[in-house]
Amino acid sequence: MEATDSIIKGCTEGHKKSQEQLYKLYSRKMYAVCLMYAKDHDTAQDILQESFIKVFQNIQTFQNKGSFEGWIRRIVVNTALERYRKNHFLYPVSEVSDYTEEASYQDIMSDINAQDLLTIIQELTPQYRMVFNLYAIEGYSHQEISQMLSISEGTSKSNLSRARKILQEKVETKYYNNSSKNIQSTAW
Amino acid sequence: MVRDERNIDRIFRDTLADAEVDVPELCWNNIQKQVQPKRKIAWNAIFQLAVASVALFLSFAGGYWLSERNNQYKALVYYNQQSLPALETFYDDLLTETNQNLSSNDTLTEIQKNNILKKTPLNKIEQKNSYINLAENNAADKSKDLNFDNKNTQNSSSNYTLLSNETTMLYNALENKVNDDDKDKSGWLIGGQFTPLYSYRSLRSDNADIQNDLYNQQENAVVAFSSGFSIQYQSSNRWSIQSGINYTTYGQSSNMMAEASGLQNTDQMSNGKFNLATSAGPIIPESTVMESLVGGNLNNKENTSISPNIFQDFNYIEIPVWVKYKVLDGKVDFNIFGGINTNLLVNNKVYVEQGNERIFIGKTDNLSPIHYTSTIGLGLEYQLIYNVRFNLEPTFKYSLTPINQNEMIRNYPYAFGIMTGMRFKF
Repeated sequence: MEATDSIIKGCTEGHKKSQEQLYKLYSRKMYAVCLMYAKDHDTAQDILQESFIKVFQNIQTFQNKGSFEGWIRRIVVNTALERYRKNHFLYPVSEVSDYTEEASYQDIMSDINAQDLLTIIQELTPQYRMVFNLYAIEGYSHQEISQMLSISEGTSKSNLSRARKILQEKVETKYYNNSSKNIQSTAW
Repeated sequence: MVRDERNIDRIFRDTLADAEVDVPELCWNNIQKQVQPKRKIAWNAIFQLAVASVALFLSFAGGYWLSERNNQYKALVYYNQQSLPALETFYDDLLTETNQNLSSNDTLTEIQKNNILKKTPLNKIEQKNSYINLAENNAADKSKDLNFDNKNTQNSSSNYTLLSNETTMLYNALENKVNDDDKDKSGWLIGGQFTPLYSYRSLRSDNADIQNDLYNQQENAVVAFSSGFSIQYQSSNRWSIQSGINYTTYGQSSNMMAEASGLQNTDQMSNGKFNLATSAGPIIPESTVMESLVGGNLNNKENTSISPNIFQDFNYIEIPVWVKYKVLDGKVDFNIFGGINTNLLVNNKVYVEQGNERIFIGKTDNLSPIHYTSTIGLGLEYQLIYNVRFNLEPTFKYSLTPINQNEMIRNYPYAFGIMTGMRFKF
């Protein structure tokens, strides 16, 4: 904690070495966050670079309320949202909300790694990806998401529901394919 | 094979919460190039501060110079005041004197009586002229005491000589004094005004303005207007309170239409159900109009007949309550004023421009039906004729409450304008 405080202090004073230390501490984790919101690695790298530039330019506004990692993560998420809104200011509106209760599905946790899940998330359409990330990963409510994305709460709920179904299908497909291969190899 | 049921949210969250991925080397190089350790000097802020300081200095210098001139006139008036009757009693005394003349002299013929009556001022203008004539005569006498130069006319048939520059100044000062005596009285003024406005907005959010950057890049100011009627009560020479009713428009424009042709999912157009996000709130388009505009004209990027901007107008009935203070009292009055306005939303329109024509495409959603603004301004007021005044008042309006109901991003319109109008005092 003290080491982080001294790095933050150094960044506030503009020391390049402190900036590099801070980047090394958090860049890998934040890049994973960027990959959740971006459609590909190039976009994720752009988001990462923009985010860290904002971190260094605004680090003096961090007031030690809450975790520093959480503060950086919020900047990364907001930067991703900016990019999303710039490219997707027109968004579909569902008249009928077909939101249902959270669907249950099979446990395939042990067979799926982070990289696979990131790939699966990137296959979602941007609208679904944004809502799923903000709700399931970042923990925002539908009311907050509706205001952040300028959509209705019904649209947020229906997008989340569709995102979950798609993710479920993709995860099950992957797991089913992997499970089938494992059974065949074991049989031999 | 079905295993324990787990929530997909939790699976993604738990797996990805602490996930780390290697970052390409070039990212840090790119970041290093753009990060500036030294803060740039805010030249814009310094420039604005300099302009404001110069304007303030000129205002005070001008006011000081005008008040100096005013003081000179007042000094000259003082010399003459000793022998002049008070204006309030002048008319009464003149009437009394006239009646006494009429009643004390039975030998006067009807014609002579009428001539005497003709010389008695019966309305304010004649009263003023009589007073000034009296002052002129007195000024001519006083000028000798003050060592002013006098020129004798060759053809003068009146009892006073033509006045030199100095006594002309005294004459003007006395005229101002008569005007001031009129102005000193409290009273009511009604008038009409029109104000062209430069309208834009500031945004506030809970995320340290990071979310607002995109809207600030996309959205621009517009030219709007305010017009209406005012009613003012002048309680003394210096203080007055003003209210009235105005029709006021605020607004903004967004350069989004040019990007509309880049829709990623054509299904969005086929069912026609989509919104446009702005800082004031989502625009709910008339689907058929938008489909024809976007699906028809804008899909062809070479077609430039449709303007790239979407205009949002927010129309209010504005009820002001202002307090005014007269800083300088002279030929041209200089006022400062400020107060609060209540704005009732009566309409909002969203449109694009095609040539000279406006195409209405929808409305902005989620606006507050009522919001409050503040006004501050400077005023120049010139008395054209008897009770009619012309005013020219630069004004700044700023929102005290947001116009939208979005708690995450709050839109506060502001506007600069120059209010021009006429007022009638009674």
